[in-house]
Amino acid sequence: MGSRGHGFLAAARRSADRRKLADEELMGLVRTGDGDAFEIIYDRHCDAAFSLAYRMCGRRATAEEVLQEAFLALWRTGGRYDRSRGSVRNWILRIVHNHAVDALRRGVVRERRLLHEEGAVERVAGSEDTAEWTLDRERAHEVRGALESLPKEQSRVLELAYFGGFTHIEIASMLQLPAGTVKGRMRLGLAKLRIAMATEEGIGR
Amino acid sequence: MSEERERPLPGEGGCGDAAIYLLGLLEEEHSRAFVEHARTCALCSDDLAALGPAVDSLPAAVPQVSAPTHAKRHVMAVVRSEATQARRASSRRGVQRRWVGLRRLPSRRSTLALAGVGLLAGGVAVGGLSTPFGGGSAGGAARVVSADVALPGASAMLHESRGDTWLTVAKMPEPAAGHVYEVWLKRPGGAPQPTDSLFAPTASGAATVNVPAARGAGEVLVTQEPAGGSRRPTGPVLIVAHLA
Repeated sequence: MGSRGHGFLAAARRSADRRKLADEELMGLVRTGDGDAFEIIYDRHCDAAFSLAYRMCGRRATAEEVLQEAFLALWRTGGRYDRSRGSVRNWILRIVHNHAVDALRRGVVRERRLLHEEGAVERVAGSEDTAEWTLDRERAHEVRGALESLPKEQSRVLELAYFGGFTHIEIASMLQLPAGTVKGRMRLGLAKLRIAMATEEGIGR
Repeated sequence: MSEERERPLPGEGGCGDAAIYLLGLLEEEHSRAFVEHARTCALCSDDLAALGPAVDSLPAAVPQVSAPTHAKRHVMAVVRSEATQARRASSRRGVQRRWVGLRRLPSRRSTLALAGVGLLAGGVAVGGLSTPFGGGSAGGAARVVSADVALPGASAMLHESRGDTWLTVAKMPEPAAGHVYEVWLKRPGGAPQPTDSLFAPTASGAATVNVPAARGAGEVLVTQEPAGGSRRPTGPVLIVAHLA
């Protein structure tokens, strides 16, 4: 076999080896400018990232922009990942969330904001051109169940804040409530969500 | 009303703001203030630990949608191109460091010897830079060409890998209403030929487009054209990348 064949096999083996690495180990390689490691991270998390962006922005085109901006930011700031502050997936989704909020606040998707204001926020994002992923379905079911178990006024402020990108001040104005009440509902909602999920996972006892 | 144990919460980024901090609702300045505060506040520190996993779980409630494949092409084209540039810059620095190190040789060494070493180092540097697209023995044959851009603040580069050529732009302004950017190929002595590559950048001014059949072209050009593209350039050349 020629040297070219050896080179190809070595590259394939290297790629296969990388795919066995945990996210945290791959991030160590991304920090050194390893594009192959970054590609694996992208493949593992792009669907969750796009799903979040799509749910928040309500438009595929905007969600695509958010996805691309977020992953390029991740590539350029990979060195900032700190494993003591949670999983790579959660870190990526936080970056995506921040970019989606920026897009919402830039007014890129004003119609989406109007939808929120009209109370459409309770509706689950449209499922056209989508496919539920079996792997995450159980987890999704748990979280949705936990969200639905919250008092309506608490789940509403959480949805408006997290998925709608509205500030607590905007939500207070929208719902004609004091800002302190909105903050309190968010805190209670999150605390109950945590408990509800821990219970569902069987670790809340 | 069922607002059990709701506390009155003063100011922004102060005590009790863990939830709005975690939900990303605080401005950067208030966010920093809250992080500072939480370092010494047991209540807020406990809130962060207790509420953080709840916020992190929220994305799981979203119906899962497959990311479009062209988004990956765009992202990876930029990543590969930046990784190549970084590698090249790093090896250039390495050569420079070696050269600087050699120049620090004691001056009493013979001028001839130093000149010889200098020539050798220069040869390495020139050799390294004269294969600007990093082909070499790795077999990756990735090549990156920086383009001249007539738009203030914007930048562009061509990335060629495995027979595909991509144009990546950054900080490009939006084209005028009803217009797009169009990519052209120009062969030496010929007129610009249109391609199918029409694009508009993202809100941040970024875009990556395929440049078909770029092999053999002397230059890749970009102009602004009416939506749908033109058969001949109607506007000034905004980007030019010299391939020859």
